[in-house]
Amino acid sequence: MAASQAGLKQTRLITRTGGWLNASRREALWFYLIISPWLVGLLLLLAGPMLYSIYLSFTDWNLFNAPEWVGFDNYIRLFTRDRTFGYALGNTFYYTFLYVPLNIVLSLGIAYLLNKRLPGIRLFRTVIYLPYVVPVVATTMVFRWVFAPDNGLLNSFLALLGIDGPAWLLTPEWVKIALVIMSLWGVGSSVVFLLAGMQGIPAELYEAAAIDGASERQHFFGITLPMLSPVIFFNMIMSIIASLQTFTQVYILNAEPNTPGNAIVMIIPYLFDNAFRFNKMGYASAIAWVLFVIIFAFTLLVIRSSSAWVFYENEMKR
Amino acid sequence: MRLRMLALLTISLLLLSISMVAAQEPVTLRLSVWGSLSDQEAYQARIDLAEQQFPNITVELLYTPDDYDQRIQTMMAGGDAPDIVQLAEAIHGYSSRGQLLALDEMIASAGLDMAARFGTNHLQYQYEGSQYALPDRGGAMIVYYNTDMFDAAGLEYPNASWTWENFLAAAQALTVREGDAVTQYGFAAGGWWPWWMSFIYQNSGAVLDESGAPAFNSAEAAEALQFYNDLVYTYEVAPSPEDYANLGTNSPDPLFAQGKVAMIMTGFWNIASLRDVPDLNWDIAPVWGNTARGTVAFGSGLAITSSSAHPEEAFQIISFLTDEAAQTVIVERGQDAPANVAVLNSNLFLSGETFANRDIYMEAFGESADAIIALPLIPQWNEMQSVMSATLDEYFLNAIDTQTAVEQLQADLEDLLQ
Repeated sequence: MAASQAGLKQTRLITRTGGWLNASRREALWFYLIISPWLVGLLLLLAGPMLYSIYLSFTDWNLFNAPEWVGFDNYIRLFTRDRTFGYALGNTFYYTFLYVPLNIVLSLGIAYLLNKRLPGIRLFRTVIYLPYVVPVVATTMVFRWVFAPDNGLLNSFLALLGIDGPAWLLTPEWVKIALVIMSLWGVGSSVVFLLAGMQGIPAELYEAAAIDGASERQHFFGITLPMLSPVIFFNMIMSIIASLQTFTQVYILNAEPNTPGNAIVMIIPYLFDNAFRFNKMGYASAIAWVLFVIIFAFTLLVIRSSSAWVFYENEMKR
Repeated sequence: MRLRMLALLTISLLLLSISMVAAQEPVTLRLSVWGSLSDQEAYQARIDLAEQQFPNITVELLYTPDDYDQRIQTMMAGGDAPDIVQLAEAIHGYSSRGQLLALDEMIASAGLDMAARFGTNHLQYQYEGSQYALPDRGGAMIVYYNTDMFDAAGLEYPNASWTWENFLAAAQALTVREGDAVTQYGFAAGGWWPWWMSFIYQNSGAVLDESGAPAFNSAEAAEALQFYNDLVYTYEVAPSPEDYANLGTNSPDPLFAQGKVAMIMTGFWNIASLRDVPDLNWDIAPVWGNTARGTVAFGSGLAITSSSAHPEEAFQIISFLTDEAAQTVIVERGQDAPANVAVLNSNLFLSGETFANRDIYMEAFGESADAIIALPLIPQWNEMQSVMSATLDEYFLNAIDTQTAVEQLQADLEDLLQ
């Protein structure tokens, strides 16, 4: 009954094309109808809480009693008196500035090698991607052994080269480097994008270059790199955002009794502690918004710079 | 007139019978605990006893092995709090937020003599003059020592009269070196707060003074931390964090069980871990002191959440669980030291027959009773722990000196508490 009525209505709407519901309006209506579950979800589950957390960041709230308005106190405390937040900011930047460039260079190199047509190359491609599939929790537990001071895998290897490796996870100066090394182990996710990009580069370009007598090096820098720049751009933005939001590795390592906490604390783990261990939701919200501004600024910077170095095939060079 | 009297009588009888039915109405309570699987079994056995005692009450056990506080807080925030919660050092975060029921009136009307039942153990669960939990489990941190190593070195065993001098002399005599490498440590501890905090109190220092102000900048606290770190880096009788990493562990307990350490400080639970280790001969003793005595009591209490719909029944249950019959189950199962003083002094506990397969000095727990320090259980306990370990992590790695450490600790705590 209802179905046939709806069918009737629809045929009537279609026949009355000259009315208010012409073809384009009807299309718009369907668009909003179909997208509404996501729109409602976005407004209720994302935009709502986001706006609320702006309000919370100006309050003192322990999750259970009513939030108490404190004005800019949380922000002032973050930047003037909170030593731990200072460490968290410093460590997060240090990690990001070290990890992101290394990740790009390393993933590009590996993707280049994996793009060679060799027997068994599929196996290597799988092996490179595998670490990314391993949960970070497991990786972190394994790397505790890799980084063990005297008989750890890494230091045993360094000893072969005559280098006396440090106590990676126990020395404030080395623990962040150890984190970077650990994260680079999961370089496979960036490699996959680059590899797909490389395989999408038209073979004619290389053929034309070969006819002109270009070297392997010229191939790479003159064709591969520019053609890949949109993928590198994507990888760069994603890895900047991911590094600024590092959580799991730090959380797990810091649960170890002897890890130098100040040398490893980062923004999100500190936010988590404030919100869920110290019950300072207002303060945690302020940290969240500071981080939001930082991520926004970095992303904007990269996007702005992209016109200088990102090349799209069907676009004229400005 | 008579008719009216009769009517009144009938009505009041009716009301009385209704209320009696109401009292007998089945009530389901939820009780939340953490721990190992054997802890869970012990709680269940005690709950079974309680349910026999109160047939109208059903107690459902919620067992959370990890991230306990987070789970309880999530449940509370979601309006789904359990009726009874096991809590320890973090308790006053809850009591200060009004999430727990003050038990004073119910204790008074039940005529429960707290001092007779718990000694002084219940005082740590008081916040601003009100009692927020009944102590359930508790036992001092004690010394476990390897008797074979002591015999081999010809040393007398640790006892309650020991000072740091005796302790250090023994630790030095018990440390065995082969070249540069230590093959047997005299002592082993680390960054866990009960260890270093005990040393501070043993030296008449404190984390917070009587007025509640941070007291790390005292000579006593600095001296104690220095001595504690010297055990690792100067006297070299205890493993450093790096040594631990090379030994493949982060805890002294397995090293003791492997026969690599002569003395460790830990709680009652280690009896069960060591009981079945072959060829390991050990005993227990109270922890040494210096200018004072000091050890930490590990325990937990049972509290009632303020949102519980059945506080009276919940109190009946926690009162029963901390009374002799239910506390005896803790001893029978070798789970922990009970908080109930009568059970703590019972022959069953002192003989150790239900949980140790050897004759050990169980009196160590009773002898530690007056050395138990009043922990600074402030509402910000979790945050205080985090702040202190940030500095002490570096200090115990020997990356900063004592003066820097105590100044930093003092400043950070003052900032936290203001």
